[in-house]
Amino acid sequence: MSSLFSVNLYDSFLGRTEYFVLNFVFLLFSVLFYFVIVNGLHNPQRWRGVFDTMLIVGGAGSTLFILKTLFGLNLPFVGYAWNVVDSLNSSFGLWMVVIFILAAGSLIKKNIGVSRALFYFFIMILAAVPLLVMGFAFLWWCCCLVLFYFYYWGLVFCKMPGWVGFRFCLRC
Amino acid sequence: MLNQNQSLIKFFDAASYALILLNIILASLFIDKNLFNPYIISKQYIFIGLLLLNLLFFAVKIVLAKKISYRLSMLDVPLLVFLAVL
Repeated sequence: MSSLFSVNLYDSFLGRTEYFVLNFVFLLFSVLFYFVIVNGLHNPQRWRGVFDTMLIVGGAGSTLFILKTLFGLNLPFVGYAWNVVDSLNSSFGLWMVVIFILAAGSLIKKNIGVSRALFYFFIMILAAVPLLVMGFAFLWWCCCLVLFYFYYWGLVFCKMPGWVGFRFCLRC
Repeated sequence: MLNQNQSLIKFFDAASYALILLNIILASLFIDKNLFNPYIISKQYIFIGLLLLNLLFFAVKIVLAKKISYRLSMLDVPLLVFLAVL
């Protein structure tokens, strides 16, 4: 409905090619992706697989960014692009904040093996380096806000009696 | 026949999971240098193409199982309302 009554009907419905704008087609398929994920990932192993894949992809994107910025290497399939996620480095930085928080959050869990701990540790370092290289104040504020958010929920769950609070305390 | 259907359902279930993983990998890492903006169109086409394939597998699974199995979640209704408003 909002697309139909928009000032730019086609942009609102299909988006633009020069830069990203939220459009109906993208949002529709994003919602469908949510439904596919909910129905496709029906056990903890699959969720773990998706989670690890996200971290690996984050590490790969971060490695490409580090090779470009610190070593000046232009890889053949990336060319002169700074990163593989978005034309804006700040968007890439936000993604790195998410990867950093996920890796660090997984690393502090108690019952993980050595190989998995090393994997999370390296991904955490790989995600932290682009943040240090870019050094945008905005990214540090985002990182700080997310950490406080986790801290708040940690406190809330610790006060909750029962299995939920116990499990969250073990995680944090 | 029933046994064959079960193995096919398992295959499409595994393929659907593999497509989700592939979608996460390619939609994040794939860019096309030949385009004016190498990010927007290439990533959206990969995302939408793999998702449509995944939906096709989901439909085939339903046809083979001869029953609609849908996992409900608490965000279903808010997302449908959001799509309706959109």
